[in-house]
Amino acid sequence: MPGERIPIDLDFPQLLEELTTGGILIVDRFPDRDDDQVAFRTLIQLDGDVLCSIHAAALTRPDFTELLDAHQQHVRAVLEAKSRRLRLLASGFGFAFGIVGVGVGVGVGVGDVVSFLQGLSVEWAMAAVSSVGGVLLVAVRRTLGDVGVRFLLRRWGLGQGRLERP
Amino acid sequence: MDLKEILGDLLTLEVNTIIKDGMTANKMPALPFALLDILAGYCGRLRGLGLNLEPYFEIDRERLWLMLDEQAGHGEPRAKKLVGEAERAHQKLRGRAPEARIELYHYLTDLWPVLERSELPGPSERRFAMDEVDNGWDSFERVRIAANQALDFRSYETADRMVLMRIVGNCSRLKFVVQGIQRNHEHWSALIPMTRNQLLMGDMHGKGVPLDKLGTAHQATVRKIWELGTEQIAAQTCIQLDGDVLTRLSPAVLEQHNEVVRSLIMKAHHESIGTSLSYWKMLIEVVQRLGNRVLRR
Repeated sequence: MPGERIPIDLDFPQLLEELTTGGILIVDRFPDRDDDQVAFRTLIQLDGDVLCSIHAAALTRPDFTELLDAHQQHVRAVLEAKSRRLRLLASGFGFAFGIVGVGVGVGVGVGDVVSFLQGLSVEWAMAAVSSVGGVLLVAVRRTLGDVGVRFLLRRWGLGQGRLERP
Repeated sequence: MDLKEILGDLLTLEVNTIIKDGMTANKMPALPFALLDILAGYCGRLRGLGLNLEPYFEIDRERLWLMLDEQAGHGEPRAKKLVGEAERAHQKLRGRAPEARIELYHYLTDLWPVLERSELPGPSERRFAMDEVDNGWDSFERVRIAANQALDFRSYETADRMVLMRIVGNCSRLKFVVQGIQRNHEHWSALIPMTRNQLLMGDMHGKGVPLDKLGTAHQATVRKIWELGTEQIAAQTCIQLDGDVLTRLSPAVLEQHNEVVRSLIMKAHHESIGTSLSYWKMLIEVVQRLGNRVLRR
């Protein structure tokens, strides 16, 4: 059953920050506690390392399995949302390579382009490309609306072009 | 972090499951505070194991340098080697000799000759005060040496030994991360080395943490060390791309719990392995997609 539509989230800087600096942190509280303690805390880092912390009090609860399942579902949903954005970012990269191709076509030296790209660290390159890609996508979205953006996403092979709340 | 480094890290996945007696949803604070959090956690654990840290922190850095330089002058082989290495490192990085010899302090790789004790220190008149500890590289070196000496002089339960070894290893890594920041980036001097009170009292406006100068790999290292703290790891799995999978279980943690709880811990650990593999697969798909798009054009 299709879920509620949500706006396309182009918050690439946040995604990049999570991916490159701290990692993605997902926490779940105890359902029946008012304090600031959390039952699960999962950190996923850029290199794929995962650190899962479990509150000792959660282990003694009869509903531990349900809480764990709910947390894992939460983790999967967050990862799915991040992966959509990351795929979009990857397309931005592809787009940028296209621009580079045009640049080469109009006479910019290949060596200049290559040395420019080599001089960029991955995060700066990603940030630069995502900014360009993000601005363009916002402009396209303003012009064509969500339907147009979904068409473009489909055209780029970015899934179903339908963003659903998990 | 360059692409090669990221891809290299993707060849090995590490999944850790830890049990904590208490935890909140707080994110890691800004780096200067995160370093102090790590130090506070390590010092607290060492003191909990009966170690008096005051003798390792009582000598300030100027005196430490003078002592080491003097030892080197008298021909003490370790001190001589360390000072010589510091001189060469300074020359290589700055392209000149130091204006004052104390500048070499930030190029030392070890403070062992001046901080080593012939035996573990007993109680001292002056009590160790965490609020006087700053987040400089040498604070990590002091903790590293204290934890190392604790391992040398006392016998501990396996679980405590593992934590002590982790403290030694992590302090060693953080020492070089922070030292690199201190000697290469002048604009960090308002934030490192500083105590928590100095950071809180100082006017932090306009002193944004210049994280851009800290390598991504180093940020990830600090993040992981901060997150792990001094808790025991209940289960750890390392997965290598060539198919090797290695799982380590902590007997101490598993013995504390009955069969039911043990199986719950393992269930949680298996779920985390699944998460790590899905994330890894997603990253590979993104790289593949990127490659396809570039090649198609």
